[in-house]
Formats: sequence, C-alpha cells, structure tokens
Amino acid sequence: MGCTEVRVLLADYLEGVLPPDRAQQVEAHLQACPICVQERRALERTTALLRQWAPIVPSERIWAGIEERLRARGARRVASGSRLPFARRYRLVAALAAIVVAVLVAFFLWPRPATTYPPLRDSYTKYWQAHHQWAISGGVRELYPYVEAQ
Amino acid sequence: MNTRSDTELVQRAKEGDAGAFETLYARYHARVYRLLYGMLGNRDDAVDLTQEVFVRAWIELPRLQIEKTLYGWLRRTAINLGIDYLRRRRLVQFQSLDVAPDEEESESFEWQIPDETQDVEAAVMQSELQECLQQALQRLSTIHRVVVVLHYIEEVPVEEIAQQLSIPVGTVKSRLARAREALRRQLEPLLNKGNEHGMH
Repeated sequence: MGCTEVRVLLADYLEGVLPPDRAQQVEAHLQACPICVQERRALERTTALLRQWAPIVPSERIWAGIEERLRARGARRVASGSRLPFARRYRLVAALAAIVVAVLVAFFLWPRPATTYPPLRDSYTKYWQAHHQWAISGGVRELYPYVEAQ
Repeated sequence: MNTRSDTELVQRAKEGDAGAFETLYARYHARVYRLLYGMLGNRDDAVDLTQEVFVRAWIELPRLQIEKTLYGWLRRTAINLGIDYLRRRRLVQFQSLDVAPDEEESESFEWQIPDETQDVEAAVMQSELQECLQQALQRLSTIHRVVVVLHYIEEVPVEEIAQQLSIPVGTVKSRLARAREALRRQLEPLLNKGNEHGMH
C-alpha cells in the first residue's frame, strides 16, 4: 500500500471504521513511513483541537427568547416554580382586562341627559339682563301670582 | 448539580413541572447552541434556532418518547432546523476552501498548551485558542463546515450525516477530507507550536 492510498484511509483508520485487513495494511505502512506517521499526528491534532472548540453561550438570552416565543404561541408557561399552564393564566388576565375596558367605555360613552352648562361670559350678562327685564315687566307676577296676593 | 435522569425530568416536564424542563435546558442548551453555531457560522442565527429547538421540545413534550437522553432528540431537531435554514437561505458557499488563511492573522496566534490552572494567562491562551478555532471554522465553506461540525464535534457517523444531508457517503467523506486539509492549513501555527511543546 502506497502513501497516497494510506492518506485517503487515514481518517477511517483513526476512527476505527476500516475493515481489519485494510487497517493492518495501513498499520504496516505506518511502521515503515515516517512521513505518513507525521501525517497521522497532524490529523489527530487537528481533530483534537476541533473538539476543544467551546464558544461562549448566551444562555440567558436564549432562555428569555424561549419564554417569549412560548408566550406568543400561547403555550404553557415555562418558568421556575410556575405550574399554572400559561394559556389558562393568559385567558384569566385577558378576561379581567376586557372587563376593566368595558366598564371604562360604558362610563365615558353611556348617554346622559343633556346638561345645561352656564353660558359663556358674554351671553351670561345678556341672559341676566333679559331675565331682569322679564322680571320687572311682570314675568314674576305671571309665574308667582301668590307673591302679589301677599 | 441535578442528577435526575432525562427520562425522569421529561416525565416531570410532561406533567407540567417547568423546573424539570429548565434543568433539561441547563443540561443541553450549550451543546445545541455549539452545534448550530458551528453549522450556521452566525451567533444570532444560532441563538434563534436554539430557541426554536427548545420551544419545539416543550410543545412536543406530551408526545416525546426518548430512549436514554433527550439530547438525541434535540440534536436531530437542531440538525434538521439547521439544514432547512441553510437551504432556505441558500448559504451554499460561505468562503472558498482555496482561499489561503490571512498571513497576519495566522501569525498572530501564539500556541500555548491549555493549562488546567485558572490564572489569567491560561484564560487568555484559552481565549486565543477558541478565537483561532472559530476563525478556522468560519473560513470553511458552509457545506464543509457542516460536515466537520457534525462529524468531528458532534461525532455523528458519516452514514448518518449522508442520510441527514441526502448525499452519498462518499461525498461526505470527500468533503471531510477537503475540510480537514483546509483546517490543517489554517491551524498550522497551532499544530507546529504543539509539536514544539511535545503535544500529543
């Protein structure tokens, strides 16, 4: 077996997935070929380095997103100590909120009897002038005849 | 540390114990994230899909049948989501394998044998090693990075990778060979320093 063939088989050889007879042939070659031995070491080190790869994990960010997504999908809540299914809790909160909104809407929009508000300053003066005129021209007597009787 | 088995925790989670699910999350989310980050080469996408994996796990809990550990299910789901994502985004080629590693960056790495002591120097070395590995993986094209991560980091057998990716076993092997070659070129400074320090 030549160097080219050994290098093709080297990865499988190191992973132990070569048939026994092929593995023996690779082994025999490695015993006699220092260049392929070097190749084997480089391969072993490369894979060993790769296994050391451990990126920093944003654990809290991931967890927060999981909770958010479950909430958005109306799934059961995932939180420590909480055994109340999220959907049920959500429905309860939504019902309470709807009641509050309905009460507020009714309070502000419910039709009320028309209220006579005091006239504005200008017309207010005119109103009292007219009222005074009406009163002194006999309006009071028409309205309260008993006043005169007394 | 929680010593309960996955089977027990899954059962408790099925019954509505969110704490049990949180324990499973604590146990496996880092591995799921690493797998997806390795496959996709992007932190935000990896966070996004890791969240999706666990959301699906929670939703699927009532129907979930696990053999020994939950990780098998999580890994399968993560790989499927990762592959779908890459296909959807058509991220076929991230960067050519033929592109030589940046000389300046390669020389800036200083190989140090990872030290068990927790001193600052060791932390810096570890950080440099991680940075170097990260860059080496990033420089691989997506198709090569995916097989490398699945095979060398997740230890998924070649046959299973072929099945997952719907490609022949021979293609997986040839991609692995090319990726190994590219990685070896890029990690050469580390490998040479390793030789000098008698790394085995």
